[in-house]
Amino acid sequence: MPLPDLASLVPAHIRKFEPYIPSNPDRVLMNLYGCDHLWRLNNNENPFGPPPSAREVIRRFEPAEAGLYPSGDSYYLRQKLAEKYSLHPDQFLVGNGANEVIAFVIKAFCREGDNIITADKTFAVYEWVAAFSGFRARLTPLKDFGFDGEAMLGQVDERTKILFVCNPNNPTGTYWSEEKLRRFLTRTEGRRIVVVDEAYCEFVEGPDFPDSMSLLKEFPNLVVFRTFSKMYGLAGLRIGYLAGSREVVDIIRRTRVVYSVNRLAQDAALAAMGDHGHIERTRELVRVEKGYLTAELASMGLTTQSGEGCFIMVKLPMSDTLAYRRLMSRGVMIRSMTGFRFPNWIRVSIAQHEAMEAFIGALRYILGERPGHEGR
Amino acid sequence: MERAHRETRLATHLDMTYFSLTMSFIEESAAAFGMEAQDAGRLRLASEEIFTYLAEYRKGEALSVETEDGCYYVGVKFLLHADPDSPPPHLPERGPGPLEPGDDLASMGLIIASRFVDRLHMLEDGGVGLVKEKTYPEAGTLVRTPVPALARFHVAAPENEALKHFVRQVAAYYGPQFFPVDFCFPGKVVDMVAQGQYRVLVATGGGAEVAGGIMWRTEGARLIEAFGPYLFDQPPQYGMSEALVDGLLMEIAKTEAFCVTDIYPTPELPHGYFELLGSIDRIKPDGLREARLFYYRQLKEDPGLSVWAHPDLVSFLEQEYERLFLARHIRVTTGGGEARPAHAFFSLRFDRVLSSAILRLLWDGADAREVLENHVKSLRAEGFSDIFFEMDLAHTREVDLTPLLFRQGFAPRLVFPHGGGADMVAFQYQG
Repeated sequence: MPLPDLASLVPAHIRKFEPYIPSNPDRVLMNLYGCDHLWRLNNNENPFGPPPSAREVIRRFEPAEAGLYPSGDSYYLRQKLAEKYSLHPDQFLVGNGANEVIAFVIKAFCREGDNIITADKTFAVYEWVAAFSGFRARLTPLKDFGFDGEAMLGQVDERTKILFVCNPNNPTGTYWSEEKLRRFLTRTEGRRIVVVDEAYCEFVEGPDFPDSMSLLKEFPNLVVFRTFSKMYGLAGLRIGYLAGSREVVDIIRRTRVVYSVNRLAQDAALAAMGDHGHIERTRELVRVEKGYLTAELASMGLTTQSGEGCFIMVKLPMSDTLAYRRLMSRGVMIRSMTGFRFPNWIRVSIAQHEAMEAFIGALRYILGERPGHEGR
Repeated sequence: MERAHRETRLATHLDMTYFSLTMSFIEESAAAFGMEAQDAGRLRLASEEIFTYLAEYRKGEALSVETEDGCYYVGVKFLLHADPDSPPPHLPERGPGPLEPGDDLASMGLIIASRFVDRLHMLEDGGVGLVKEKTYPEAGTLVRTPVPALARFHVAAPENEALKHFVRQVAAYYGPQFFPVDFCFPGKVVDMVAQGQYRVLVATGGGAEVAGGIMWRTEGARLIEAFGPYLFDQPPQYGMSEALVDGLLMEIAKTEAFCVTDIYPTPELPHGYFELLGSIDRIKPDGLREARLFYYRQLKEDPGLSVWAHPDLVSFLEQEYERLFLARHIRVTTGGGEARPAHAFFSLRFDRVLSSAILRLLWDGADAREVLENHVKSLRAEGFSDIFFEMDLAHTREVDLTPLLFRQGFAPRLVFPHGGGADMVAFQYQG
């Protein structure tokens, strides 16, 4: 049987799209790079993992329950979220990680010829989903490492449907205060959807960070994204959600994939929400280790960009993709940032002290030892 | 701005009855695409050789001829129609055969054809592609236009006039070893940018003065080739070279490309961005050899790879992988005296402008040694000074040619990470 005529079957925007290639499993990588351990500091995972309450739920999960469909609309979790934020359960939509809800929103509001607006150096999935869905992503440069609201508004045209703001921004850690977000929302006059992605909001310690859930009453065009992957340590179970006005969420619900969130994820997320001690412990670790990293990197004369969130960016005097390979050979995995349009920067997740020391040691080694080849 | 793509197609047969029809179609198409009569005539002469060559080996088969208006060139493809049910589907009855003049004139036709065009390459189905570039006026007298040092500048794609000025400045400020020969023809560069062959960023000041720039092109899906950065009277402390390289990297960061190679690095190439991939020898116009350095950087995180290698190549690969910090699992092939098809078939890409030719194995066969030897002999006789062989370490049938390549005078020079199905090794003919 010959291969189908892919040239005629596949839309041009799919042909042009560059698929994301996830990294290989740890054992494969360790074998290839010849290291006996691997500190994964590339995905901003919580080094504590899930809170104890969620661990208990996971431990008690009955294998027989795997044979049953989960709640198709995460009923109990939405009830709990509504209770926590004093909103209606129908104002929430749960997805298989926040990445899935990004796709729900874009599918719900965009049609051929429409565009979305976001920053050029931010979480790439908004741009990706728009691109492989056939919509244009208009990108505005960051200003002082932060989203530039004026530039975003300057890009708006009749076909603009959604503006995505990552708050705090991954990877720079900058954030918009409540005042700034309010001003931006006011300027949009409710004519377009404004998505505020708060994947890292639980890490923020700044007192002026917006209470976006309460802004939903005032701005019905606002959609807020949250995730259980970062602070709540449930990245492996893939669960995130969005919140918005009932009318807007009712529209987005039409594009949702039902039953995409498994039962274990729903139960674990439900349990994790009540564990406030976990948040405090994690914040403390991030605070202490970020301080350690910042001081060590400063002593090495390196420029850093660090705001809110469980990560820090470092500018290197070498190619970031070379640094990736060299750090991997010493058992440390970071995120190279050329793909975020930050050439020669790396992003390092904050983790336990042993991992931070391993990273600093490896970095000192690769920067201190002259490479065995001439570079430019 | 890329211009609309134009092409014409002719469905015919590999029969000399259709020779004149096919040649007229090609020549008239070239004229319709704006090619001058002399260039169109040379394209026709090359096409005559190709048609005759194919008609010899694939007599009577259906043939599609496609001509393409590439803005600065006209391309012609002779496409055969492979039968998917007869393995190997498009293996010629025999390889190109001996290439001694008078010994096999049909095979010599390919070499002769290459004299009249700028590039010639074999297609996977055994067909042939030709590229003839249009003639453009040369830049004329090159005079440097001094530019004040710019502490503040803007990096963006230029308009056509600024682009032509930039190209002239490059030719005036830098020696010919620092830029491709296309830069001697500013109008051609404008057309190449319009066609999407080149992309360019220039740094301009408040008065729109062009103070520097960088260019690049896509070579295959996975590799970007860059030239520069070029700076005109700009001091290093203002960071223009870094800004230009950053601009390039940001433009290509989210493309399919896996790495970027700077094939015309200038002294202004900033430190800390590129790694030295290696070097190849080039024959200068005065006949002397010079080492040309290749700098590269990956755009994506290297996921590691398993590659195949013949035992004779393992030490070279181990040395290069260690030097480049590439995580590779080398699997060594073991020759077991397996039966091979009778005839080997190599693809050829010629570039008359660069006087270079690149060979690749399409199908292995028992006569690989003779065929390769004849290719090299003919290419040398035709004056090709740089002869390369590309080996994809994903395919054992290619890897197993290693001893033959060594015996024929080839030496491994460069490893292009992820350059093919796995890493690609470039061998250079050393004589």
